[in-house]
Amino acid sequence: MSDVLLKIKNITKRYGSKAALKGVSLDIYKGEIVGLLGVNGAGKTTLSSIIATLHPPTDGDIECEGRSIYDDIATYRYKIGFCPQRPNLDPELTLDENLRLSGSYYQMLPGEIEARLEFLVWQLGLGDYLHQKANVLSGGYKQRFMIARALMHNPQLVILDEPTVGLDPHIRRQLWQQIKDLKQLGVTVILTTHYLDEAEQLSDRVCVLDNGLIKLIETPDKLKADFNMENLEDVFIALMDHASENK
Amino acid sequence: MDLNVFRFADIFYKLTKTRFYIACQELFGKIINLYIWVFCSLVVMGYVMQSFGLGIHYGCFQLATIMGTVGLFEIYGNSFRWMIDFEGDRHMSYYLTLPIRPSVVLWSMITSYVLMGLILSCFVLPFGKLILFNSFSLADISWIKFIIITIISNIFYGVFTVAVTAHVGAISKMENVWTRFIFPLWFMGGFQFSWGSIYNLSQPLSYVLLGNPVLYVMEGTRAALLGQKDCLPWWLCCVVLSFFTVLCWFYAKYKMKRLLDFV
Repeated sequence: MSDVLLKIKNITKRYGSKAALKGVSLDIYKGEIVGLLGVNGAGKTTLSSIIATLHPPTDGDIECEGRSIYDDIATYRYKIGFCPQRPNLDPELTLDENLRLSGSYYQMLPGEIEARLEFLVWQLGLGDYLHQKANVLSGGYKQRFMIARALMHNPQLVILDEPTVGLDPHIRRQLWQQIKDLKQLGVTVILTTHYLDEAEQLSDRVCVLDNGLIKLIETPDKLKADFNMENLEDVFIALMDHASENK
Repeated sequence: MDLNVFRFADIFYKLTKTRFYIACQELFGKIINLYIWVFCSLVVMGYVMQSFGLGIHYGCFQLATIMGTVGLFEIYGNSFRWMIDFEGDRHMSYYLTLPIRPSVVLWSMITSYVLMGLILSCFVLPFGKLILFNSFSLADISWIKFIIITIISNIFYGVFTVAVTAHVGAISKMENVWTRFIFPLWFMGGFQFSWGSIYNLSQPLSYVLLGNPVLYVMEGTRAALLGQKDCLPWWLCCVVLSFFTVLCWFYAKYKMKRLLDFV
């Protein structure tokens, strides 16, 4: 885990007078799963959408393999897949069409699209709904298709913004397995979540954001050992309590 | 040539095709709505109103302006769909993270609106001929002028859709799209009168109306369909409309960037 894929350098984001991010710096290594944690409004979604190039930072830079992503944003976008919090598949198209079009937008050849589609349908168990439209899907299947669309062009980095929010526990567990499988495939994952058990299960490292700043970055095991606590949830609550005492 | 240009062109083509394919799912319904509107307008203006002293050629005049208005009336629905998306699932976010510039995404939307506007215009002409029959002569049409002005008009309407959507920005203000933009542009844009007739009535008002881009759509379309007599010069309509389109585009891009905060 020594190769840095992404170097986030002093990112700030302001909306008018409100600062959503106040100088966030973070290295993401190739092949790891990084969990972005924080209470509502901590800046998790803002940071993930900046990494996904949906929004620009007010200040700071992001380097991908040593080069600013803003020098050639189109090339960087070939390397990433983004799965936003709210599923936004095209409801007028079938899921098969959604996925095929996604591949074609990234200039994949028809044969490549076919092979990739077949693999993802198998990997994520999507076969039953492939020829349906998105609006007939349950929340869990929508998320799976969203992940499939994000993976369609075989990106190096996938940004998952709260992928399991509002899902039933057993569906969450299924998605966890599929996120773990991404790691096996060598994909780097940035996982935004406020489920502490999810972060603990999936993340190689967790990055705790509080009020637009990084509170700490560490492996879940090291955090539990340092705080002498049994699970990440207790660590997180201790951290937040400590933060509110300092305010 | 820069590889990006080919890449952007390829993605632009695919995006446009997708948006157009989606829009075509509603084509049949749109044509029915359009035919109801055209039928009612032409029967009343082309036949009924003659009993109240309206000229016998007013039906043709009305058909020409309907041709110019088809794209204008698409703006409300297209703008509404954008705003629902902005406040809902944000499908737009996906397109804005594709490996292209945001302006390519916006132009793919505009192009799909242009194509739909052109298709709908094509459906109006034979139907209008059927209703007006001998009062409307296809032989008077300058086809080249008609095709050019229809394309320019629909490009303007497509760009204007983006501008007005970005300007209004929220579903709660949706009624402003009709009341503040479409209705005054349409009603004061020569839908029921020519610029020449207003000039004879009140010169100051006629000069004020020259600031309305829809006037050039109406006058240019009439010049192409019915002949240049009593209309603003056709070429002037094309030039001024193109100028308004460029102006609208820069405003649309600026406001859309502020609204969506894209890179």
